[in-house]
Formats: sequence, C-alpha cells, structure tokens
Amino acid sequence: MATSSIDTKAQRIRSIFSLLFLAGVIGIAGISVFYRTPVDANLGSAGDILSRTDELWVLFAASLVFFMQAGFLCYEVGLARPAHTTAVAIKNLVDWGVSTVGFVTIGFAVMFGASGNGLFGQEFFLLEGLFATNVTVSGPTFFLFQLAFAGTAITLVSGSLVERTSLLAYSIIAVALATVIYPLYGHWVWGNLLVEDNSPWLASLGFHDFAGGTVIHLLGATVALVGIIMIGPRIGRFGPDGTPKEMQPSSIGLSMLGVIILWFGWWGFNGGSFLEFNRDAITAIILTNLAAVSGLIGAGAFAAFFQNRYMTTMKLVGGAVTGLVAITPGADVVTPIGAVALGLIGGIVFSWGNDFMLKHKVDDALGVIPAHGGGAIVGTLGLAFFAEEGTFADGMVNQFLVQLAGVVVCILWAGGASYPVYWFIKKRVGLRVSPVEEMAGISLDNPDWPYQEDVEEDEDDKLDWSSAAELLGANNEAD
Amino acid sequence: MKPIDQIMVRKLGGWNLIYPADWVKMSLTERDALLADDAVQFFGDGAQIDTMEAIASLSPDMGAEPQPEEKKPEPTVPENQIVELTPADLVTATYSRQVISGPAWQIQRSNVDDISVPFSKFRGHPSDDVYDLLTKEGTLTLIADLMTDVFGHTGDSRELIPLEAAQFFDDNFFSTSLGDRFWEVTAKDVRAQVAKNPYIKLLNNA
Repeated sequence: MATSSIDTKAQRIRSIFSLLFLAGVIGIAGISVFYRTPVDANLGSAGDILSRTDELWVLFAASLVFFMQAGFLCYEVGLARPAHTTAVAIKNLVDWGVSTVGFVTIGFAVMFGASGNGLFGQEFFLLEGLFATNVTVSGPTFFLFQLAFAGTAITLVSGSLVERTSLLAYSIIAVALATVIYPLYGHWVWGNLLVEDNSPWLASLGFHDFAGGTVIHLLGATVALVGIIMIGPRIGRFGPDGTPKEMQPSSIGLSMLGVIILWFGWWGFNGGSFLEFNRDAITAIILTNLAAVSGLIGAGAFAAFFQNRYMTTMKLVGGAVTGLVAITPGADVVTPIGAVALGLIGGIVFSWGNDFMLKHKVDDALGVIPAHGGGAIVGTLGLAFFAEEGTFADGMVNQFLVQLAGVVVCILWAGGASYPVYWFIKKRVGLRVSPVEEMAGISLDNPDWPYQEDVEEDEDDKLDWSSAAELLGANNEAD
Repeated sequence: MKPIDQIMVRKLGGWNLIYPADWVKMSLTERDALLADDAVQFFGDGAQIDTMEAIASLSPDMGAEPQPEEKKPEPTVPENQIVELTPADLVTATYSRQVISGPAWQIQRSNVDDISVPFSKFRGHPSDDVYDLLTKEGTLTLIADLMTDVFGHTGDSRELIPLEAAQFFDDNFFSTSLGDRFWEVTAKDVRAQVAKNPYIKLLNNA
C-alpha cells in the first residue's frame, strides 16, 4: 500500500521528536550530575516552630485532593461510552503526569514565586529554594497541596473533551495549562500565599477566592469550553436537525462512585485550604457538604419540575458536583444557610446550563461547563451576598463588583490564552483521533478493539468504488 | 444517501472536524491533495458516507447546507443498452462556469498547470463559445463532453455516450437551475459519477 505524503511528514516529525526526547533525557541526567545543591541546603530554618498537627492535616488534605483524581476518573469513565473507557482512564493518568512535570518545572514558580510586579512569580523554578521556606506549614507540604490543586484544574479539561480528542493534542493543552495558563492567573489571586511580600493584582483589589472556585474550576471550564468549540462535537452527537442523540454511558453506578470520591476529596480541598488545622477547617467541611446536598436537590428538582425529567440521573450527579464547586470560593466566609442557597442556585444553573448547551449543539460530554464553570460563577459572585456579616469592609455591592471583575478576567485570560494553543494544534497537528478510533473506541496499543468486527464491515462497504477505481486504472492518472 | 453534516480531515498528528461549508470554501488543490492522501472522510447523521458519493453530492451545487436526502430507484438496464467505455487517459482537469447567469453556460477547462481554455472549443465545437442549456441538444452535448473528456477521449463525444447514459448523468449530477451560484466540478467528481452510471461499463485500459 502506498504511503501518503501525510504519513511521510508525520514519520519525519516523529523522528525529530524522538531525537529531541533522547536529547532531553541526556540533558536532564547531565544537569542532575553537574548541578547539585549542598547537602544541608534543604533544611528549613523555622522547621522546629511549625505545628505538626497543621503539617499532618495539610498533608492529609493534599492526599484527599489527589484522591479526587480517582473520583474524576470514575466519574468520567462511568459517563463515557463503553468503547472509550480505557482512553478516558489513560487521559486522566496522563494529565496527572503532565501536571506534575509542568508544575514542578515552571508552574509553581510562576504561581508562587517572588514577583515584585504582581503579575508572575520568578522563583522556585524546578523547586529550587522551596524546601527552605515555610508558611503555616513547610514549603514541601504547601507544594504538594498546590500540586494536587493544579492536577484538578487540568483534569477538568479532559472530561469535557472525552471520546474524540487525541492524546497528543490533549497533552499539549495540558502542558500549556500547567505551566502558563493556570499558574499566571493563580498568581494574580494567590501570589502572596507563600511569599507574603508579593502584591498580586487581583488579590490587591480585594478579590476573594478561598479554595479555587475561579482559579481552578472556572479557569479549567473556560479552557474546556474553548476546546469544545474548536474540536467540535462527537461524530453523530447531533442529528441533522440539531437534536442531541443519546450517548449510552458505560456505567452510571461508577460515575456515582466517582462523585462520592470527589465529595470526599473536597473535604481536603476546602478544609485544607486554611493551611492549618482549626475549627474553621471543620466548619468549611460542613459547609461543603451542605452545598453539595443542596446542589443535588436543586438540580434534581429543577429537572423534574421544569425540564420534564430529562436526564434527571445525570443532573443529580452533576448537581452535587456543582454544589461542591459553588461553595469552594467562599467556604471560609459563607454562612450555613448561605451554603444551602449557593448549592441550590448552583444545581439549578447546572440543569439549565446542561440543556442550554445541548440546544446550542455544544458537546460537553460530561457537563463540565455548567458544573464547574456555572458553579464557580455562582459561588464567586454569590459569596458577596452570602458571607457572614462584616466580612467585606466595602459592603456587598462593592465586593460583588470586585468578584465580577475577577470572574471576567479569568474568562478573558483563560479563553484568550488557550485559543491560540488550540488553534496551533488544529492547524499543525490535528485535534482529534481518527474517525475509526472515535467510533470504535480509542486504543493506544491494542489492535483487538471490542468493535473491530464492525469496523471491518464498514471497510467492506467501500469496495464498490474501489473496484471501480481499480477498473479505471486510477493510479495512472495524468493530464 | 444521508445529508453530510460532518467531515473529518487528517493532519500530521491527528484529525480535525470541518463542516460542508468549510469543504466548499477549500481550494480545489487542497481538496485534491486530501483526496489523494485518503485524508478525508464524510459523515451524515453519524454514519460514514462513501467518499465519491459525498464529493459528488457536495461538488456540483456547492451548497453550504447539507444536501437533502434523495433516493432514486436503481434502473434495470437491458444488456443491449450498456456501452463499453475504455479510459484512454485520466485527466485532472477542473471545469468551471464563467457565465454565471442564464442558461447559456461558458465552461472553462483548467488543467493541473492552471492553463485555462474554453471547454467548448477544446472539445471541437469551434463555432460555439457556450453550451445552451435551454436546449436538449446543448445540455446533452455538454454532458457527453464532460463524460468523455475526463477519460482522455477526443472527437465527437455523442458517438461514445448514448442518450440514456447522458440522461442518467443529468438526473444524478447536473443542475441547470443554479441561478447565479458558483459551479465547478473536477474530473474526479465526474468520473465518480460515470462509474455509477448503469448504462456504461468501464473497461480497464491496462
């Protein structure tokens, strides 16, 4: 069979990247040998005065947040079609790997390093100098907690693009997200968490995002939305008249287990964000539960009463996640009744948003945009009204305007920064898997796909024309 | 055939989704390159559509909207009405309409080197610049010219192509009600239609 020009070019590029990879491995090994820090350089001078309880609590919270990766995996695998479960799981694994590498090398430094300008950090590249720092907990513990957060921001994108996005394209997006898009916005809001002298510009305005409703969830959802638009819907997702077609999930039960794991992990997400073990951390966990339950009720009730029970099961699941997201930015300041209100509104927004997106032929496979984007906007704006009395010195309306500014900046930044990345991949690489892989299931290395026989039957259907083309001697084409 | 609503185009490291409107906007060179590399697949309502059928349905009328589903009964052709056609040379020309209003069509034939000539004169009708599609004679002449030119035949096309075959081609491929819309077909498109023509049996010229 003749090799196409695309195959030839792809092979050439693969060879170049293979050489670059080998050069990179040798380079890293070389740097490791010749650039070594002194044996006592990583000892923190203030290590003895830290509370071991705080340290242990934040480390445990980091583990809970990391465990959310398992929750996302179950949630996404359960809602994906059976043929795609392996690929979805692999993507979750890959994005944790990419998050770690990207965040360790560049992302953490940009997000938390000393900046002086409030725009981006310039310290702690490759974690250089981190191990000697302290906040309420030691620098390494703080890093682990933040690494788990970064992984969450990145995994959101994979959920919305499942069943059609190529691993290569997704990896490029994940790298951009882990090294630039997430850390830069993160610095604007949380840039003074580790280096107190920093004056991140959004935080200086008074923007409040306690555990990352906007920094993580809205940012991830915005990048995902740009991706959904650039990549397009799955083959056959919408009929000729625009009617969405049901895509049979592989296991609703598994996706519910995923939600429970996420819910559990969120205890660490919000409770650990105080960076110390105190009464407020426990209160935040209670508020987290209240909001999640309210989100579930709000989404389910809205679907049942206003949407003719359309996809109620998925809306219950998504509603709970939306409630969790909605409480995240204000888990330190919102009242218990405020948490219920945020959850209910978030749930309603999810159910409405999910149908709105389908109506406009936006194929958000797992409802990431209404859950994480919608929930984050509700929570970030709502905390201005549902916070305890006297939390914000400038009053509700002023705080609301500041919160609104933070939301708008996040959308503009995440959308504006991710678009060129998607555009470049689309232009030069290609964003999707092949149609056969998309319809029969994506497999990295196993030729025995579960639907292989169907694919072969489809190939047989093409024989009519190929035999005719052969008859014409199509290979002898000339003018 | 289901209306085409999604088109997948292969790139170096993956595929991209485009829509029929994007396909129509692509240059002929781009489209030919994709077809030559087998780097494009067409889908209608989630099902893959035969590439040649898809191209034929997208090319003649160049509509941005998906083409309506059209089912025609397969004609049963008596053996004695089937003519044999032996391809002489498969050309890679493009045929486009220059006079874009009214039934009088002036067709330009462009080859791979982008050298463009009036098709009517190229086919040996020195007195006519245009094909008069108001008349059956003009329509059939144009159809027969197209059907024979794509296989490298010269001379009187009407001797090679019978009336029934031209009629079938007209019914399935041609449109004389384009108004002022753009019209352009490639030799490949035409050959795809000829291959499906039950009145013509293509023979291997090897």
